[in-house]
Amino acid sequence: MMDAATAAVALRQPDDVMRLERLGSLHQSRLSFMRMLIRRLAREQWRTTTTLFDINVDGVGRAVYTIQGPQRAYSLVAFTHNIPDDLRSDRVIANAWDATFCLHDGIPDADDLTRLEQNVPLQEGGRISQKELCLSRANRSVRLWSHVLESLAAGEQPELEKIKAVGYLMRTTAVYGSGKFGAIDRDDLCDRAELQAPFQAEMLTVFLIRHFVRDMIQQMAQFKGGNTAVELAPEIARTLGIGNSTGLGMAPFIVNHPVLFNNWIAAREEAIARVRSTDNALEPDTAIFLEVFRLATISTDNLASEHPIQIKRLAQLRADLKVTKTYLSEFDWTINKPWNRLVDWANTALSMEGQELLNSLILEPYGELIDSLESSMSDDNTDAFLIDGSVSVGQTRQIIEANFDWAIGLDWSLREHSERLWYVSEEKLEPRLGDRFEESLDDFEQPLAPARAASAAHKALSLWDEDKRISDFLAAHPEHRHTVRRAQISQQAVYSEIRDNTIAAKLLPIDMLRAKLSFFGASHFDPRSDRWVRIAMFMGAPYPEDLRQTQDDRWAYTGVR
Amino acid sequence: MSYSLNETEALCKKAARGAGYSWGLAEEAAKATQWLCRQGIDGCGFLSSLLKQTDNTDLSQWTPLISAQRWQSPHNTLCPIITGTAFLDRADLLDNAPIVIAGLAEPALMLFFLAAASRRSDAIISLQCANNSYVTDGHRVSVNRTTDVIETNTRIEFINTLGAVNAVCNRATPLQINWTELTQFASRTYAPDTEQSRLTGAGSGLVDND
Repeated sequence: MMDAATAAVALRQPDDVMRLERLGSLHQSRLSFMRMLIRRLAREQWRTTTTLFDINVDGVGRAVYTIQGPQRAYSLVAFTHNIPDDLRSDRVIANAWDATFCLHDGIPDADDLTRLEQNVPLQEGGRISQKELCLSRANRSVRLWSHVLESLAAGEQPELEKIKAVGYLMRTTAVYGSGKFGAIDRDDLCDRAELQAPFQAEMLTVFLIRHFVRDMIQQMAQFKGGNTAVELAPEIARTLGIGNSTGLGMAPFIVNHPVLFNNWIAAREEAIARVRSTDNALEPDTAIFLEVFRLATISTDNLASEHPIQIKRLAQLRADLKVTKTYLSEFDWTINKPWNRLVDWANTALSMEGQELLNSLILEPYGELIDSLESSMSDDNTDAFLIDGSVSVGQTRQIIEANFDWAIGLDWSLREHSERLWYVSEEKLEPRLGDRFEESLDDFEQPLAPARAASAAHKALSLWDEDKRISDFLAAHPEHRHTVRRAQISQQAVYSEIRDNTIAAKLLPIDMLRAKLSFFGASHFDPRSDRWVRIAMFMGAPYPEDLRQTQDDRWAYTGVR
Repeated sequence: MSYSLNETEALCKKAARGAGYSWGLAEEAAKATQWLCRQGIDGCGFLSSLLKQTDNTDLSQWTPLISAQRWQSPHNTLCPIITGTAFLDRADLLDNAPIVIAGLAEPALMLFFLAAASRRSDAIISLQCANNSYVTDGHRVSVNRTTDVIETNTRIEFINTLGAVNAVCNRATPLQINWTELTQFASRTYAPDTEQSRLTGAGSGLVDND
């Protein structure tokens, strides 16, 4: 029998991890996609050069930045526009943006630039090609842009308080990849080491957009102030990220990609379990932890939100950090498995926000132990899609019960359980959420209520002999095929299903958005409503020129001071 | 114009759903079409043709009645997606003798399912239909024009050799008419735009000029 002192700490159960409140409390970590990208760029000494910068005094023009890695180069192609203020919308229904971008594979030639100039500014209305990886656009944060521009033009640095209040000069409103609008498919890229982990092309696009935005505002300040103008101080530039404004499009993603989402959660859970299983915390490791804890406390103090839900959660998180600070001041690091003790304590003493922040922080000292999990976070198992028809009806029912026992008995005709309805509008295919009891949208409902679907499938299965093959059941009930597939996937991917009702009246879609965004590495979650959130990306990150000087991987904790 | 395989799959899923397939079968229709496109076969053309045939009909009529060696429709014609899923579930029947399917629409759309069965059994499977024979080892396909007249029957069996395979394509190059037809089917899954939907559905205002 294994001694309790050496036994590994078990992974957390899906019933605990996959609740929306917890998923909506996740924070960025070492395993976030932005962090992975920066580590690689620094480790491999990627070099960025500006190959074209041609922006006129009205802020209209184009620019190309090429980043060269050990094997390949990629180029951000940027187009800037002069748009009327009333057209500036973060929603997908917008048709005009301050800047539009694509990530080109290699270095674009003149023909490429002509082609891209005819298409990229149109975004969804244009086409890109196999030579492009991503399509994106961004709008200015009008208030911060004006302040920084006026300050720099007048020869002064912007006020830190104003920087802190916004955190970015531009915010992206979409970063499309994976073959969308004609771009190259992910399948054609995943043999490239630098793109094997999820969303690396998208993160690289945003990293280069941030670089471009700094150049852009300095150029505009130069036009405006002439010799009086100054450049943005590097320490201020570093605190600026790129914003992102995200609506409902992200929520379906984590439901529609059960294997992929499982792999993200499973990697993080494995990382947490490995650190909790560490018998002894060495002094350099605890020092790193205490430092990021200190930095995270400062960052949290600086966070602001106008949304009642987030205001409450931030207050709770600050209280959590205060309690934790006291706890840590007397913590005995010499005990066996100190990280496990810390996490066990947090689970009884802190809110979910506090627990999950701590779970991210304890990973920081242990890059050697956990960073290799990066390679498990993609989804390359395409045969997981195939249903095994030989499984019995009884077994299928059991799998559904294991995932959705709480959902099976619900009365789905009640408003509290089924008020929300996910649909796609014909208006630029914007994903939206409706009220089933107020709007006639049933015919357009997207399959984004796995719990209700599981409950319905379970009911139908109960009328069948449990020894029958599931293939026989599905031949008679093709409407349950989607659910049976998910059930079979969940056997290999235990974290694939959200264990909450995604159409409940009390659903907060922002929880689903945050779960995904935290894996990107986003920070500064600032909900604008129950289904819309603004965040910051790469805040505190090195710029391309800094990659040569540092491999510091704790930039995510070094935002505005 | 060429399309990425991902956008092809996404459109086909919506198109099949728009044409009345369940979400689960629509997912399979999309995978089956995308897989054909990857093999250099005009999957979009086949799917578009199929959906035009099945549209506004009772899909249960397109479901095969399965017996050991001969599958047929209770009605007239079989759907290759529904029949394909059934085949994958009952590929064990192939161990004994060839399976003959009577009256199968767009047989090539079954290839995705044959390929999956081929990977599972690590064997080469052929599908013979009027004028064409397709052979797959689970990963690639060879296509041969044949003069064997097998009328309206499709014949599936194990064989020994794969033959000269099609080059793998990483883009779909459908006829524009087929892409447009699929887009029209897909548009049935989109809700009409209304003022209420526009104002409340997305959870954000119309202008973000801050």
